[in-house]
Parts: sequence; structure tokens; C-alpha cells
Amino acid sequence: MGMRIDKMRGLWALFKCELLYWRVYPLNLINDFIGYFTWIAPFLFAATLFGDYKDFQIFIAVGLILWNWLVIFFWGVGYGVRHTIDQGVLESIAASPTSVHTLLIAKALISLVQNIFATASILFWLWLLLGLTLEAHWGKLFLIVALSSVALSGLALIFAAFVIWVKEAASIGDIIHQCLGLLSGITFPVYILPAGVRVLSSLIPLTYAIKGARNAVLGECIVLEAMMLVLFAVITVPLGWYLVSAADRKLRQSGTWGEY
Amino acid sequence: MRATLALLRYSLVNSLRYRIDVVGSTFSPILWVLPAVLMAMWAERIGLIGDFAEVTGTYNYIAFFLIGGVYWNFVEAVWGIAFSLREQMFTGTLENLWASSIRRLGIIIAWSLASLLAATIFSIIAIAVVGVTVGLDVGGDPRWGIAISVFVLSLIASYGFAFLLFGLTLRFKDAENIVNIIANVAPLLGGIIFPVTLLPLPLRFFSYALPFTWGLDALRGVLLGAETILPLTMQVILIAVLAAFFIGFGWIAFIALERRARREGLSIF
Repeated sequence: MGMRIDKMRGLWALFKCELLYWRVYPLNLINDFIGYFTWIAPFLFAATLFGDYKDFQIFIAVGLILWNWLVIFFWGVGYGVRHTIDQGVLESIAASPTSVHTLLIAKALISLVQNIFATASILFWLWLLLGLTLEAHWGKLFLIVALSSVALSGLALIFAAFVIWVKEAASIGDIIHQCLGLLSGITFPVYILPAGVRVLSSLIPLTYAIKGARNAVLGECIVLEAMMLVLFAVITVPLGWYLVSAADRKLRQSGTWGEY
Repeated sequence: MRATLALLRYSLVNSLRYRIDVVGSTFSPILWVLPAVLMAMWAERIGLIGDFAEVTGTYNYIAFFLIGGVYWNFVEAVWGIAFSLREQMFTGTLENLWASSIRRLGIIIAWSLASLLAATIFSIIAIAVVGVTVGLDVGGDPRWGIAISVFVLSLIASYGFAFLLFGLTLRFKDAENIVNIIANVAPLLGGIIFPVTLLPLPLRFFSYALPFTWGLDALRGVLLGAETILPLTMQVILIAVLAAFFIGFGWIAFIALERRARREGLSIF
């Protein structure tokens, strides 16, 4: 019981540390408020090339917003370990009563907060610059987003294990998150991809997150997508947890925790 | 000159040292435009491609998007060297570099040439991959002479940006956010995958102030026969004027900001 309280305290401390970072660097918040939208905005404006069809544009916007969720989890959790190495505090955390797992849970929680902020900012800019407003079956949408968060966090844990192992993975992370977005149909329905490629798409939780969110916006059934996201969460989270443990064990044995 | 070439060689060796970064950069131009290309393929299937042709003046959406991606790859390769300066700050080698015999302009040229060489290779690979997989035909009668002139003028303007961002990074230690905001907003304002005429009017003013907006629009005009914002001759003259302005203003700003930064100390970070 005492150990559990320690871990919770450690989790809260790490989470608070991440929040304080925003307070110390307020320009980061402004950068994020603009940056999350400008990163996907070229595709949103490109969508207007095909006519002033709001449904078409909302279809694209939903895919891009969910992709943004993946990217934030990926880089916040997956690559967040690298930031901790750069700051020179990873070994200190690894040697403390908390663990690298607790660090990653804190990063997942802060990524969730970041995602909510990012989505709110994107919806604001969508309304202001493109006159788009999101109307959806909100209960279904929140369910899909909640399940997606868990499944995508699991994926991010797997990437975190990889980053812990190889230390430098920015470029490969870039390729991975872009390929995941392309295979999941961020700006198009997956059915236009060749059959062989669609098989790969079906193995990615983001595909179901995007499809489920689009269905929620259209007021359609989300049962299949929700079930698939639960299945992915059940697989990716324990797998990611195990891989992080394995990487942690290996680095402790070799004594290379703090190395670049 | 020798010192500049030595720094150029170092930059190239450093880039190639991290092979995974090379792989990432190779596919970056393609991966960036692919979501737009696939969106257009879907739009074509559901009968919306006519609207695209009406706005852009061409049905050739693959070439339209790819030109934007490749062009931006080069433009960003030059002014993106502000991040190299930031890296020198992180690794604590900025003062050593500044105290060496390499001239400031030599540092900028060495870093930018390394980036441009990499951008050239990656862009050729991107064009080759697209050409082999889906076919790439600019069609019509592309005027390569004008295209090359526009491209060179765009690079000159990009150097102006590089000077300015260099100066800002030296002077303001937290300039990283400023550079990040510019890096995030520039592709939107530059119209990499859409004509800037689609932007709301207030944003369009900022777009029109950028030489890259006119450069990319002119390139699409001469290579694809797409409609340009202004008559092509006027547009090329405008790019030349903006390039001259940005390179002059950028250099003056860099000298002033660097002088101020050296007075306060380069090691403060």
C-alpha cells in the first residue's frame, strides 16, 4: 500500500512537472495554439480545391484531427523519453522510487491534456478561417476518442521502448507516424487503397479511430470500430509495457541509461 | 575559403553519419504531399476533380502537389539552417565556431550548401519514385529557362530569410519558438499544396509579402500551364524585387543582431 502511494505521488510530481513547463515557457502555448492548426491547415485548404462541400471538408478535418492525436501521443510519450535524456534527468528518475513506466504514464496524461488543447484550437481555427463547425453524436464521438487515446497510448509505449533502446529515433519516428497516417486514411477513405495495402490499414488502431469518429459525425454505427479499438488497447498497452520493461532491464544491465 | 569548405565537408559527413536520418529525409518530400495526392485521387473518383481544374487551371494534381513539395524542400533547406545554429548552442560549440577563422557568411554558405545538396538528392529520388510508380508528366510546353530563373531567385530570397533567422537566433536565446512558428506557418502561407487565393483575405496579405508565394505560383504556371496570380512577367519581376529586398534586409538585420548578441555574450543560453 505504501509503495502504491509512493508511485501515485511520483506520478503526480512528474505530471505537475510537465504542466509547469508550460507555465515557464508561455510562448510554447502560443506556438502550440497556432502550430497544431497550421501543421494540418494546408490539407484543409487543399480540400477546398474540390469545391465548397462542407461534408467533404469535415470528413478530411476529422481524419487530420485524429492523426494529430496519434502524433501528440507518439512524440509526447514515445519521444518524451528522449527529451528526458536530453535534459539529463532520466537516470535520476530511473534511480528514484518512481520508474520509467511512471514517467511514461505521466507523459501519456500530459499528452492527453495537450490533445484536448490541440483539438480545441483546431476547431477554433476551423470555425474562424474556414467557417466549419463540427456537429456530431457527441456521446459516440467521446467514446471513440477515449478508446483511441488508450489504444494510441499503447502504440506510443511501443515506440518509447524503441527510443529507449536506440536513443536517436526522430527520423524513423517521422516516417512511422506519416506512414501510419497514410495507411489509416487521414484525407481519404481507406477503400481507395489497393487491397494489399488495406490489409496493413486494418492492423492500425488509427484506422478505426478515424472511421469511428467519421461515423460518429455522420450519426452512424460505431460498434465495430469501438470493439476494434478495445482489442487494440488490450494488445498494445501490455505489449508496450512489456517492451519498456525489457528495454529498461537491458539498459540497467549495460549501464547505458544516461548515454546519448 | 578553405575553412568554409572544411565546414561544408563536416556538415555532409555529420548528415550521413545518422543513416536513419538520411532515410527519413529521402522520403520526406513524398510523404508530405501523399495525403494531398490521395485526397485528390478520391475526389477524382467521386467526380470533384472538375472543381480542382477550375481553380488551378490544370487537371494534373500529382505534378501540382509534387512541385510544391519539392520547391519547399529547397526553400526550407536554406532558411532551415537557423536550426543548425541552435544545435551549436545546445552542444556548446557556438563560441568556438564564432572564434574560428570562418567568416559568418562562410558558415551560412557551408551549412546551406550541405542542406541544398541533400535536398537535391532527395528531390530527385522523390520525382523518380513518383515517375516510376504513377507516372509524372508536366505536359504542355514547360518553359525551363523561366522556371530555373524563378527557382534561383527563390533561393536568393531564402538566403535573406536565413540571415534574418540567424540574427534572431543569436540575439534572442529563446528564438526557437519564433523560428518554430515561422516554420509552421510558412507552408500554409506559401501555398505548398493549394493556391493562396483560397486563403482568407487577412492571411493573403502575409502570403503576398513572401517571395516564395510568387515563386511557387510562377513555377506551376511555367511548368503546368496553371493560372498565375499576376501575369507571369510581372510576377517574375516581383520575385526579383522581393528577393533583392529580403537579401539586403536580412543581411543588415543579421549584422545588427549579431553585433548586439556578441556584446551580451554568445554563451548565454
